[in-house]
Amino acid sequence: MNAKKTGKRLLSAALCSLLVLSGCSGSNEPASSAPESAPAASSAPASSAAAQSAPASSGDAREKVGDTYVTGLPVTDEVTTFTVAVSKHTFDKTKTMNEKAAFIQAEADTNIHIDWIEVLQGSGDEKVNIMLATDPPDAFIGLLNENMMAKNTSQFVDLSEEGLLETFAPHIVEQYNSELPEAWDMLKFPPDGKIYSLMTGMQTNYENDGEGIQFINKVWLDKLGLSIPKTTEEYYNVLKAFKEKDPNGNGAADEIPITFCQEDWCSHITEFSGPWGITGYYKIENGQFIPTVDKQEYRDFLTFYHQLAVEGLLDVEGFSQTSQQYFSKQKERLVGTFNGWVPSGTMDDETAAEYVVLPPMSAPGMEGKQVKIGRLNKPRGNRLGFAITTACPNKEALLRWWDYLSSSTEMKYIVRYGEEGTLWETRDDGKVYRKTPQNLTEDFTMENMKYTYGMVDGCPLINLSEIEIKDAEKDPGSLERDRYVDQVKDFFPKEFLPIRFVDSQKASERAFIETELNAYLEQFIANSIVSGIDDASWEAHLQQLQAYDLAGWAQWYQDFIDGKF
Amino acid sequence: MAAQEKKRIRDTTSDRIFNIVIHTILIIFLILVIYPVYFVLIASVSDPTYVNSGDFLLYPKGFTLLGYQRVFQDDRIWVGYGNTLIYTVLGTILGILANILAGYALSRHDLPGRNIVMALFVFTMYFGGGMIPFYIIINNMNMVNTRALMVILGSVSVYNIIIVRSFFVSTIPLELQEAAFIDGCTNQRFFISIVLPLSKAIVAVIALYTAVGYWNSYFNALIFLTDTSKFPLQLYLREILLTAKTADASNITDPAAARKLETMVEVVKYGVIVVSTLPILCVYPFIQKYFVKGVMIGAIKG
Amino acid sequence: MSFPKTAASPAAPAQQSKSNLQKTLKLMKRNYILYLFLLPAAVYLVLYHYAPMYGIQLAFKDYIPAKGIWGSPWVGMKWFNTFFSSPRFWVLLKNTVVISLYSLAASFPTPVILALIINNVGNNKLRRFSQTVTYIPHFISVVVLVGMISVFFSPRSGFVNTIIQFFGAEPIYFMGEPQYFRHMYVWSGVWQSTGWGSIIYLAALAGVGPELHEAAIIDGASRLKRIWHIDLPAIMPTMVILLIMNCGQVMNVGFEKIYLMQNSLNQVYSEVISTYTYKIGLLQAEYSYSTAIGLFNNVINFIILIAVNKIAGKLSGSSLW
Repeated sequence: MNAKKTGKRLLSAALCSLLVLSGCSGSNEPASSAPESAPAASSAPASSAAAQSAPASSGDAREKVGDTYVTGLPVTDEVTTFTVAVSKHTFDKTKTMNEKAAFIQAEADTNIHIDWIEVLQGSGDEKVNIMLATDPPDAFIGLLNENMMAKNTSQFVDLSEEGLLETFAPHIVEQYNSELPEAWDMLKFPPDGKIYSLMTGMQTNYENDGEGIQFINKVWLDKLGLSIPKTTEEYYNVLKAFKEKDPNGNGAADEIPITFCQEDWCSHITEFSGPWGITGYYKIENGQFIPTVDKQEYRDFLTFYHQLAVEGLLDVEGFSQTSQQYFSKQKERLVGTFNGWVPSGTMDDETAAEYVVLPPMSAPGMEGKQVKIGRLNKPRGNRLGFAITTACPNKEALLRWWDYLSSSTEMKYIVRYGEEGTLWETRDDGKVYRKTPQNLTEDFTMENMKYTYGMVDGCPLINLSEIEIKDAEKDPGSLERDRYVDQVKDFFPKEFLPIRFVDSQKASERAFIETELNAYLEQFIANSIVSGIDDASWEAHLQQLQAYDLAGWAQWYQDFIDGKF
Repeated sequence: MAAQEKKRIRDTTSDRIFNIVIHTILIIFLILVIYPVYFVLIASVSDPTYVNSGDFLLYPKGFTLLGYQRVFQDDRIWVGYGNTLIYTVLGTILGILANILAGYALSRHDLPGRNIVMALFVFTMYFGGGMIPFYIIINNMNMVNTRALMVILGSVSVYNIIIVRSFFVSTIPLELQEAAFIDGCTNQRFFISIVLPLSKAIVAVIALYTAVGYWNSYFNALIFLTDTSKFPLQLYLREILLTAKTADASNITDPAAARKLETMVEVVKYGVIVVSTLPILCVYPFIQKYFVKGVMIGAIKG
Repeated sequence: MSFPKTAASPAAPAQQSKSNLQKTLKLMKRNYILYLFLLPAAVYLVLYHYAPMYGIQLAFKDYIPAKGIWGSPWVGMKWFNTFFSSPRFWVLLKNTVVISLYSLAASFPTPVILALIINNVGNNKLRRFSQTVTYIPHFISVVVLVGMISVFFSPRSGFVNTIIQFFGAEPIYFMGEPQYFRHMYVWSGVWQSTGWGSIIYLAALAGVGPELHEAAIIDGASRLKRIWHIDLPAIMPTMVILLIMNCGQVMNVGFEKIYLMQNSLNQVYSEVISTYTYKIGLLQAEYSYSTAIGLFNNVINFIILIAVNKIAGKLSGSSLW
């Protein structure tokens, strides 16, 4: 208090002195400009049929806790205002979140008004950390990460408190209990197992299960009379033919048989390691955490790609090129095979149509053991999606507001994509179907629509059973990615790390090992592919791994799998 | 006489060589600078595919104004321009005043304690409390999310003060000052009627440094502003440029959107540079005229 | 005054210090307005720099936001020890120092040379043109700069390699081969900052009176000699001061550019303290740890600054204090 006053006084002194000296008093911009834009009162009539409640009279007989009704709507008699910090997507064209259908409707029905603190993408962490250190909002949607929570659990409302969720968020409790009972364990925060957050987003999304998928130019293959390679030897021959036999027919040897891009999240060089049974720096077998980077298979993978590099088949510029350079090569029809999301994401439709999926091949000695990075039904719900802070004066009312948004599949989709009919619809079978709107323009794309009308993954958790259905007949384009995933899904590994929060000390332990280890491995992999590995350098590598505490790293994860923390 | 004549001729020959050398160096350097700048210009009106495949050298390929359209279709850009202009103009005025005054005072040998003050000033260039206490202090002053803060922050720069100081030390002769004081001139009068007219060049430099600093700054706005109507230009531009970079495997929720975003960023990337740089480039000619030789001498005589 | 020296000796120091004090007080009184001149800057620095400085203690604490800066528990030198015992500490330190000394060596003299050249160009138009053009690169954002480097120097399609191949040499993978990294980093920096850096020198050169040059011409001094004896001394104090300040930045290598230029091939040279801190922060937002590393850097910077300042003061007479 005192500091505050002194600060103000000092400041005004500073200002005065500056102004006096500059002799321009009054020319300064007034500190507070335009009056606050009128809140969503004007938009109230848009309320849906859900507004069944009669105008609240003071004689309302419903049970109350403080100002908050335990059941029914509205939640409070008077308009109650909360401050909520939310992540704002770049594609979102709204001026305020309160323009979105979901919040207009929620405010009309619940009498709860939200003052949004909209945090731009890319500046999130900095702002959130400052908010947590100074004055936190009443709640966060989609901005928190595990570190922030681990260091600040005392600033969040304990939702596992007896009866709290049951009373004020009955829909959510019902949903978790019936559809995703493991959610309660996934949300527990160590060390004391309290729950500080609720989930948002889609529980799983088939599209995302496959990560980067390898594509190969079928037109080139056909032209050269080759078939899709099934083994790494065939693969090698195909790449050689791509390089030497001018499959794009322009007379110049400008073909790039294989390229990749370290800057693009789904095109890393390590995505090619599938044939050797490798999906990353480790694998899990029968509950055992096994590092792969010290195994012969890893060396074989690197040696094979080194050979490709030596012969000019692998585009080593991949280590430094920007993703845009990478995409340009694809667009210019120079690339034989690459890893990516969908070919049409980076090329025009005609070029993209030339590419087909290249499923994992088998490498010598590893027959039948090939794998593909990915995970079937990969959990994608954001476990820290919605969290109420202890600064919130009325957590019950805010919880009821969130429960209102979670109260039905339709409501959740309104939060996700906006009103029914544009991007989604419910059909006679009671299921939600995806819709592709017709009136898309370059300036207002599908993605703009999603993020402008709704807030996509900021929506309350959408369960497996509620996931939108893509209609193969009416909207075949929406299935493009799914069809690719279909072709590789059988190669996904079967065992994964458990999903559980880690306390800040354990997280910090891991961070210190991983920062060093990852940096070393990245460098080792790149050098090995460019310069090759001999016995001496492999031996040196094994020793380096010791220095970077590979064993400690493996132990950390083994303990995690075994539930020791 | 003849010897003198000879000498002059020899000198002009060496001068001529000197001339050729400096012009050659300058022209090589100019080419090195101009080409990439020119590249930015033609890239801003070219199809990004060609930009990134290195397919053009001298003229645009796949001509398109899409980049500029994208930048300008967003009306926030004009709000941003307006805000940046306000912050830059007012901030620069504050900056010139504070830095020139402080720099001059510190340049005076007869100011007791100036070395201590100097050391205390320099200390702040190296040691700071970090973001969080800084925010807490600003918050306590109730200056979060105010335009006043955007104007004040960045005005005083110890670096600039030091430059001003060293300029005065080397250009205002001690004799001039002593002579003036003997004539009964006060410090204020001496500063206003003798020092200031002599220091147009340094005022110009500080104005430029401060203005460009304000023009390019976004970090304070990022941290302290929540109200989008107060955002400066660079915050929008940064948002446009950097969002694609934040997409990594762990936080991608919508890969289709991420791809789209990357393409969009690429289209506007070079246009954004042009849009944000042109206005501030226009300032330079006004500053430049104070760098012409003899300005100071004229002032002394006048 | 007339006292014999021996007799005065006990009283003299006191007397002298008294008269010194009086002199100081007199000066302070006469120049009181100069203190007012300092006031705006001083108030600013106190409010926005000194007031938050209590945050430095976080380097010795384990910061827990809920407990606040004052309430977080002390951990002594824990963070410093963690940093020093990192397996790559010496590599990080070496990379940081090498790259910043190289930068300093390359980018300190170039603006001086450019300013002297521009100042000696007779043609008015060319002079103005060069001034305006050379400072434009300062405005090109780092993201775009690094993107352009990647395109221009691409081993496949970059025009630099086209030129190299034209002369019959093999294309060079500039961004991939680690030995080129430092050159790429430093010289792209020179490209970007030379024109901007020359502005201050041009301003200082504007202060050189034409009659000095006229007199020198009459004496038959060549242009090179005039530069050496007239122009250079005119900008010398500015040069010395800037050099001192740059030396005090040895431990700070700007994060953004080096991070964007970094890839797994050039990491051997491109991993510096700032990129390391960033990576740790990504995995684990350890506010105290980054505060400690920052403090370590700046203590070293400050010590270097003080040393260089002292040396410069002795050698050239120009110093910060």
